[in-house]
Amino acid sequence: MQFALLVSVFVIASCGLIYELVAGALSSYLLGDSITQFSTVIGTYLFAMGVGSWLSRHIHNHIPERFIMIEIMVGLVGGFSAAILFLCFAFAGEPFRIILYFLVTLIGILVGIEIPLVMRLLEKDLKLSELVSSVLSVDYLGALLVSVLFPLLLAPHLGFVRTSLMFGAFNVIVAIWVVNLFKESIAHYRRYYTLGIFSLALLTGGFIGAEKLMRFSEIKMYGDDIIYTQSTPYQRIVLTRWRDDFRLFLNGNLQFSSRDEYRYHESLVHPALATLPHARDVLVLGGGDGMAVRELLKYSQIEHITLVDLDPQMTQLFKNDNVLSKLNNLSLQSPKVEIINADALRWMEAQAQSYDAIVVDFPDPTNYALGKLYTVTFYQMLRRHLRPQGLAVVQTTSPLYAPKSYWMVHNTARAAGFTTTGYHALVPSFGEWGFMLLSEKPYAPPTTIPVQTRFLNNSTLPILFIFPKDMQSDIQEINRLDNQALVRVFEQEWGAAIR
Amino acid sequence: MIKHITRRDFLIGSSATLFVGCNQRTPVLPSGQLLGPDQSIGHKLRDGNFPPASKEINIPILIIGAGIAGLSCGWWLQRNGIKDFQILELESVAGGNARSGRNSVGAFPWGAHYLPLPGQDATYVRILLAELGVLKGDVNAVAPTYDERFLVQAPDERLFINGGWQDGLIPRVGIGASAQREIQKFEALMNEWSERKGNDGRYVFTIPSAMGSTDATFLSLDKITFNEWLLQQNLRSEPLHWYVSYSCRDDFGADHHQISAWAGLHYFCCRRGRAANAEPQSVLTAPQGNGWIVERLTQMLEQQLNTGSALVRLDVQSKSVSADIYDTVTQEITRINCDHLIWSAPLFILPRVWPAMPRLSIPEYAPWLVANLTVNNIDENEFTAWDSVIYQGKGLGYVDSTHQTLAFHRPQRVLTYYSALSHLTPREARQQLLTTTHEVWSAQVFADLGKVHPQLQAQCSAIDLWRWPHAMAIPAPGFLTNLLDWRQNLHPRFQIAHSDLSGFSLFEEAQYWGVNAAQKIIEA
Repeated sequence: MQFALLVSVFVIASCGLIYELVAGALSSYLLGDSITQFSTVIGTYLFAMGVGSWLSRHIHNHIPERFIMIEIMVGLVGGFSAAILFLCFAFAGEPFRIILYFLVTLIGILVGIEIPLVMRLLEKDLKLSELVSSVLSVDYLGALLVSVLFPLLLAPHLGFVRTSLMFGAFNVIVAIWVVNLFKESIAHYRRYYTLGIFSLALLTGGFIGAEKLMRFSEIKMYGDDIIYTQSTPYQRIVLTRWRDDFRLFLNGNLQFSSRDEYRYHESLVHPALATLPHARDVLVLGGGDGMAVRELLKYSQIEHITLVDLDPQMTQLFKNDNVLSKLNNLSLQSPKVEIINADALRWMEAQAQSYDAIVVDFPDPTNYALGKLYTVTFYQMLRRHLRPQGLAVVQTTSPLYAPKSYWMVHNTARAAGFTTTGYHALVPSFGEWGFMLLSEKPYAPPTTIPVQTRFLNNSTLPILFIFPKDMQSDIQEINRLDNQALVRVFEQEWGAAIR
Repeated sequence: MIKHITRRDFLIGSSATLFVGCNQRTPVLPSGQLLGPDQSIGHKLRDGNFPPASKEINIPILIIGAGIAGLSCGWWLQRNGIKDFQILELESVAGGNARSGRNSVGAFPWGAHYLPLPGQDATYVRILLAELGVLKGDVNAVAPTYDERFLVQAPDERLFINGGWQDGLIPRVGIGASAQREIQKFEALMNEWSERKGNDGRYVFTIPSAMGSTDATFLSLDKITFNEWLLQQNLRSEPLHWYVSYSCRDDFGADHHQISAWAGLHYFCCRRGRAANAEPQSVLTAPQGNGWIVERLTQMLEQQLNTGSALVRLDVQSKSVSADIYDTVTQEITRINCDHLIWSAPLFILPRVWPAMPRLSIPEYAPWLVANLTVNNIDENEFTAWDSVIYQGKGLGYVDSTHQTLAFHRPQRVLTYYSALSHLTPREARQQLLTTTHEVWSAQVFADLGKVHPQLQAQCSAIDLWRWPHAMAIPAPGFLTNLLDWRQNLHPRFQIAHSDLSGFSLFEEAQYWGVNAAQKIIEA
């Protein structure tokens, strides 16, 4: 009996510390600022343990039963704490802290009651000096074990959620064991058994279902209903819908919202194409969603559109899916459109064909791989594929949030020999967005837009070419393959713009 | 379009690991080839059992060895209208230390993997690069413009130190203030030495080294080791000594306790190349390392290049030179009589084929191991740089051969791992190199790189190894004095053209001696 109870002290001590560690690590991981998180979590937890120890004086009788109930409660609350915190963070940001400190306090109080109760269970068999010395030494030993295991084995191999579920199960197993030890003196001990087994099943189920939980929290993080997800070799495609608003995310980054994408795609295509009445052959780089192609197809003089996008699953989806192909007016099914799935730079390197217009719709330069698509080398290559009277247009991030990046792209294209013209438009789901026109000779905006539009009109078009003071920069740097200056500046600027 | 990664986005990406953890099993070692230069001829040479020549022909100019020196010699002859020459190469392909390979992922180096921006003394390098279309405009410009595709892309070099990656290879992060001051002092000293000129107005250290000053006062630097020199300057900190050791092993195959102070200073002070469109420390490179230059030179010299041909006996007469050439395919010997013979193979082979050679001392050669790892399912954020080095690692780190391609998406890579076996004497290390199995070498490579890429072995589908028993001559103290004897004309019809004449296995040196030999023939 004595030995068994000391073993349970050991288990309880390790469980108690694990919940504290998980809460501390999880909150530093999710909220950042690990010093604040760890110190407030530990402080709250220790204080709550004190409260628990104090409360234990109010438990006068039925100590084994109370102990079993507290043990099961610690197991359930502690065991599910990490999962609750993850889900809560996915649902909404702010109540997270409240729930975090609530859980830490609750677990702390329960754990605080535990040890005094065990001591009282043992007081009949041991002298006070022996009792305090054995219980506390086993308690600290358990703490040492998990504090070493947690960073080395548990967190990296099991993850936070499974670790706390596993230790929750340990707590419950201790409870069941104690039921067994005291079954003579507990009335209705079978009820405690049943409760224990049920809790254990719950925790085991949680352990097995941890993966599904993750998917569920992912859905919540995107906010809206996920109607499509696919991991291709190139990216993770997620499509969400809220009423009539479709949003496409690639690797978690918003690509368009069907509510205002027309603003973006009209701005991308028409300032160039409205001045090219003789454009026959057009090249689109990126833009596998077919939206830019939809705008291009409004020009009847265009005979052939070549769309080069890396990801075949992306173009397949927007070509054949019933819902998505409607968003681009079935543009990718048009006989004028040829889809090529290839790496843009490599494809251009291997090609000799030239075009009247080129639309470049790549993701922003968030990493070195994407940074290559904004270098002098890229624009030199683009220039070789553009006919002398032709125009190229490039989406070039936000001149408001990232003016240095925006103008560095201009410097870079000029270093490749282009004349550049900048303009910008407000796309609510992105913010104020920038574009860059590339030509051999100076470009003049069109006086009329010859096709149907929802956003652009003749009178507001010239305004897009005016840059207010906060969208300007005197940056001189050029983005080259050997310096990748853009990626660094871009990260700096967006890092400051979004918190 | 908003691409900023928030903590929440990051959570989505990494939650799988957090929730599920990962099942770690020790993966099996990937298979691969155990390669290296042809050893059979060397053994046969030592045993001396070649048959007599079965036929005899005349070739005016014969070049032995199709590494950078031999190819450059041929290039310069051809450029000057001389076509009547042959280049013989023992191996089945040309290239020597600039040799490269190719697999389903792409091309990769087996040896030399970059060419620093040539300074103004490296005229021949600049002429070649202009001819290959990589250097644009004036070849004599202080800072010429280069084809951006050959300038190493950013991020270029990184060092794993104190638990994380830092930019650049000079230790900076977490090394302490005094070590930092030593590194600054060292850098200042190197800047000072790189500007220093001799009494003839030439730089003491330049590349090619033969273009440097002949001022004898600096020869005293060749009497001590580089380590001794550092201690004389009161430079003692661990991070600096590691960095210097790393650099010496990377270029000379031996560390700073073994090499001459003159060679060490040359390494740090000889480069003054600049580019109009790149940072000063930039280098020229391609997926196959320097193999792209070998490929272009080989195309130009297609008519003259003969592989699988080994020189096994050399007879130098007063009027002519005759060479017995062993064909590794037909196993027949042909005697070739020539007016000029250019030896552009390593010096250590020469006494074995030329019994009457003047007695000169042969340097020690460093053995190397190079591994090419085919790696799949690459995490773009884990493998960002061209050259990745581990502080106090066993090897010299690895180069990502796909880094220089223009491809956006690179899920598969070939990583080229280098290790100079400088922990043993060259002889012992060579023995170890040749007797250790593929499995043992592979396990060592993964043990070294596993510290920074724990999943590497599981991601790796093939590991091919190249053993270089005599990778490069070691410039030990006294090497320079010794080489001055080698550089003197041994015979009017016989010339040596090899980087061994400089003591450094560098492209610029090899090319210089190759062109220099060709030029002497042109002028003769």
